Amino acid sequence: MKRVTLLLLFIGLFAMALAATAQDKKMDMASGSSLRADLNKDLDEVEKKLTDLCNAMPDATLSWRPKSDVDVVRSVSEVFAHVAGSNYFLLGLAGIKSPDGLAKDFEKTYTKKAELVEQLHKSFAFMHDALKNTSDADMNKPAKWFGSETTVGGIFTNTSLHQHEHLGQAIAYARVNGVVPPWTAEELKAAKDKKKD
Amino acid sequence: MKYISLTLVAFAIFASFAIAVAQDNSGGIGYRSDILNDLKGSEKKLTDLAEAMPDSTYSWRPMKGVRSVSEVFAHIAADNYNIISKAGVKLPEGVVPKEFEKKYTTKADCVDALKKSFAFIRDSFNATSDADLGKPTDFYGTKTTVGGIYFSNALHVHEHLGQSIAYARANNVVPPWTAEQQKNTKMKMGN
Repeated sequence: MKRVTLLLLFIGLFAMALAATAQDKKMDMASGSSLRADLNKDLDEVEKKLTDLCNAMPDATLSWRPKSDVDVVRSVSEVFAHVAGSNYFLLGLAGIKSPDGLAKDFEKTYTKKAELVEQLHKSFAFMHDALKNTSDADMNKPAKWFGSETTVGGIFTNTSLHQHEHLGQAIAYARVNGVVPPWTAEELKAAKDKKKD
Repeated sequence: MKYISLTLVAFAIFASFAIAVAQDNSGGIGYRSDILNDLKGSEKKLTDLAEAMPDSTYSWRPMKGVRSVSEVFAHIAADNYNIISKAGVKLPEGVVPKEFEKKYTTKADCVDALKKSFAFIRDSFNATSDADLGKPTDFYGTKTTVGGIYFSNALHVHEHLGQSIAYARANNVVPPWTAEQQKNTKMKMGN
């Protein structure tokens, strides 16, 4: 009987250790250190691209928008302002409180280059802080994304996807206005310099 | 003694159940369902947009040296293979992503290439265990996990979806899902 008890005790402890390992793996993949690192890195890159692109756009192009026969499409400044405003709004879906005193309508309030760059920087800093202050356990908590079931971690990843979609839009707007994105211009210059050597 | 043994049996069963719960993120909510939902949404938007673009716009590009409408769609399809292959997934026989932008130039070609590439991601993602998604790997010199590569691919898809939407707008094409929303709003207002 003693032997059976010891065996069962061993099985119980082994199973608990396995459960803990399985939980660690889940957090690592879904919302733990690796996702956190991926998100932080991506936030840095997108922030740099969006603010560099905004700075590269001539002031005269900030009110440009594609023509539409049936509706009104966002202008250059409205796209940048929309990304900044949405960084707060979307994290709000995860229950993360926005700072006090935010403008009600970013797209109407911020139209100048300096304002847009500043608001982008502030909204990305807010996201970095929110990510830092959200524990791994909280990242796994259920949340809703426009009616779809997800997790708090899913709200962070969806917000990054939203940024990338509008980054792609902003790049295309730049190209239509004859502006080469600064990081592409840099690559082209480096390739040219290399050819000269 | 019998009482202790029964307690331990119950304890072992509970612990086994805990393992099952901890490992079960294949369904329900979480990273796996987020990636699958996003694949579904992006594929639909991209293929609907590709269908909505008039044939005459497929060679349009905003400026010299920048991808045309067809090249953007073909690029997304190609990179769906390229990026996922960085996670160690083998490319299907006969698929040569670097040829896509020159090879697929018509609407039918682009829609077909997009659908096949999304099916490839979905199949490879579904075939990857949770344990394998957590495995460390490298993505263009940056340390990540296999799961991180699927996330990076989604970011890439969204960037070019945004580009395609802007291309559509520059050609006075309203994305089909926006047109549908506008139609529904109009109908609601008419009621």
